[in-house]
Amino acid sequence: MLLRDDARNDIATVASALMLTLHVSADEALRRTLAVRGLGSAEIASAEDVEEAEAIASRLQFLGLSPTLLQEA
Amino acid sequence: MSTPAMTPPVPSREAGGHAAAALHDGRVVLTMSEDTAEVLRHLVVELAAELAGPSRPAAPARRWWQHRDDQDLDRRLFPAVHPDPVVEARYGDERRAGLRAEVLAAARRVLAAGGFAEVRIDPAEVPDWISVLGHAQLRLARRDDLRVAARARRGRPDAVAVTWLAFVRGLLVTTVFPSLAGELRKLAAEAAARGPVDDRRPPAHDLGSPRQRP
Repeated sequence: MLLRDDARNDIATVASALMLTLHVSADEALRRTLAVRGLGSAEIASAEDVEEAEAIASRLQFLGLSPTLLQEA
Repeated sequence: MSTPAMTPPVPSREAGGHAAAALHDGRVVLTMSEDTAEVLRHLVVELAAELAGPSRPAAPARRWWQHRDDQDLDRRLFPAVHPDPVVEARYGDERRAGLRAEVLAAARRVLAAGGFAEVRIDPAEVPDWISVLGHAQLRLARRDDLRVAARARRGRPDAVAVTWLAFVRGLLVTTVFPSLAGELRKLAAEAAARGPVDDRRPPAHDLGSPRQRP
C-alpha cells in the first residue's frame, strides 16, 4: 500500500508529520514532502499491509495531513 | 462569545514581534502577544466545543468562525483515506470517530496549559500542538482554499486567523525540529542562487508568514 497526500499543507508541517510518524530524518522527510508538492500527489510512505498503512494514515491525519491509501499495482 | 480582533497579516520580520518560539532546557517556549494568544486560544476552545458536540451536517456558514463548505466537520478534518468509496464507507466512520476523540483529547490537553501568551511545551506534547493548531485552521478554511491569503490581505478575520494559526504552527515545527529548519534554509539558499522562476507556486523554502500563507 502507498500513502499519498494531495493537501496544500505547508512544507514544514508535512515534513514534521513524516518525521514524527515515520521516524525519518529531516532531509528524507523534506525530500518526500517536496515530491508531494512538486507532483501534486506522490508517495509519502509505504506499508506492508493494509492495517499498517491505515494506522500510518490515521497518525498522519491526526497531525493534519490528508493521506490517501493506494493499493500498489 | 465575542472574539477579539486579530492583528492583520504582517511580513515575517514583523510577525516575530507577535509570536516567537525558542528552545530552553529541552522545552519549547512559545510566546505570543496578548491579542494573538487570546484569539488562537479562543479558536482552540471553539474547536474543542465543536468536536465535543454531536456529529452533524454543517449548515452553510454565516459567521466567520463557522466552517464554510457543505461537508460536515468530520469529513473536512478527516477526509476519506481509501479512494474506493465502498472500502471507505466500511472503514471510515469508525476511524473518523476515533480521530475526532483523539483531536478533542489533544485540544483539551493544549487548553490545560492555560493562556497562550507564554507556553512551555515538552517534546512529547508537540504532536498535540501541531494537531490542534492544524485542525483549528482546517475548521476555518478548506485544505484547497486558494483565496485565503488574498482574503487575509483584505483583513477578513477568518482568513487572518487561518494565516496566524499556520504561522504559529510553522514556528513551532521549525523550533522543535532545528534540523528541518536547517534543511529548509538550505533550500532557500539554493532557490535564491537559481534566481526567480516563473511559477505561481510558493517557493519550496517558504516557511510562511502571515502575509504569505497558506
